[in-house]
Amino acid sequence: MKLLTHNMLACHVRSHKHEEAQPFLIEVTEQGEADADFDPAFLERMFDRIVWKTLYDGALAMGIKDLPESPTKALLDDEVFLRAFHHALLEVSLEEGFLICPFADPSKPNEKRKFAVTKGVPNLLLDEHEC
Amino acid sequence: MKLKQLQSIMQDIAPFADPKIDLEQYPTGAHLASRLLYTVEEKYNEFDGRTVADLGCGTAMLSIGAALLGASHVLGIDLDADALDTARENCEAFEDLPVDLMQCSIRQVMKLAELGLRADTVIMNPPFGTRKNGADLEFLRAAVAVSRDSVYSLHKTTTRAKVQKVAENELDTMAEVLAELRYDLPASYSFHKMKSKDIQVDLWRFKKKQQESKGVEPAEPKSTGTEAESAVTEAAGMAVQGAEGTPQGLGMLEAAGRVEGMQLEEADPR
Repeated sequence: MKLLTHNMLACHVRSHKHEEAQPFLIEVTEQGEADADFDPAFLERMFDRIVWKTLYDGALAMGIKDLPESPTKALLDDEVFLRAFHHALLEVSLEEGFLICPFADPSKPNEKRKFAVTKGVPNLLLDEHEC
Repeated sequence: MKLKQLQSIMQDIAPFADPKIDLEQYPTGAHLASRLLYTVEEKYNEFDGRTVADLGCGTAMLSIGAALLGASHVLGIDLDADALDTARENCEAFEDLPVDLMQCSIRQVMKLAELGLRADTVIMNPPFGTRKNGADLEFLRAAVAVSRDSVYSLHKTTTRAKVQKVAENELDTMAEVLAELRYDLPASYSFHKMKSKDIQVDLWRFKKKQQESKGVEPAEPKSTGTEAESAVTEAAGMAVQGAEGTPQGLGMLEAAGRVEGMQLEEADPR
């Protein structure tokens, strides 16, 4: 699972009653890398579309430290930035681990809801009472 | 990539190992899949440089095709872990294909769409609703919620009027049947008494009237007059002129020649 996919997701457990879309935290057991075509026009469109903080936090979880915390649009002209953005968004991949909702069900405050990622495929199936 | 090349690649994609009747797991078939995909790319240019979602991706045939035709990122979503296992193996046969897979239900896809899940283009071969009533429309609603622009989908020709009504009135999209196709199911399931079963399906294009902001630049359509474009236009025109679902419409389709019947190749069900 690439970080672009992760960026599209938010915790969908109704009983959590999130006020805003809540991105998942990432717990990495195993990660991988692939090559993706470098396409600055695509990256520029994605820059406007994604939630940067979610990408930034996800990248840190995957061991990527070369993304700026608050980039401006002007950075899209900077090849060094573009390459780092490209790599984080489209090339690193979570193979084994979990997507975690940081805010638990109020009735079970110590239990975090974890969605397993197996061979790169996240399982977001919910129990009946969570829908 | 040429159509024949695409079809040849699609032919190597493994079908369901053990199709589940209740989930309507039919093989899409290389012939049908390659032509659906080629139409989207050649006539509408809605894969290249775009994000794509494939709802009910099954073995990821359409997802892989979209990626091969230039999609920058594809998300294939399915309920069934076994199908996704096959899908994953199919994707791995290619090097560095920009396809991610995800397991969840169509109901959860709808919820995720409410929370922001989006793709520029949605493609799908959803359940027809023969096992779970209304499944086809549930997929359509979710697809329109996810898409920033267009949805390409297959639905039984017998449901044409209903699909049109839901797409236009409830979902506020422009809905168009691009082609009428014959889905030739081999006896995939042991209880099928006949050797094969013909289902007539419509290839639909649904286009959102209001394109979402932060998004899609209108795709530059490829130059008109390509073989695929005229073939599909002719097929659609002829098919619509024939009364819905009559053999006559299909006869004309086949006679058009260039469409080559657009029938499903018989996929090995096991």
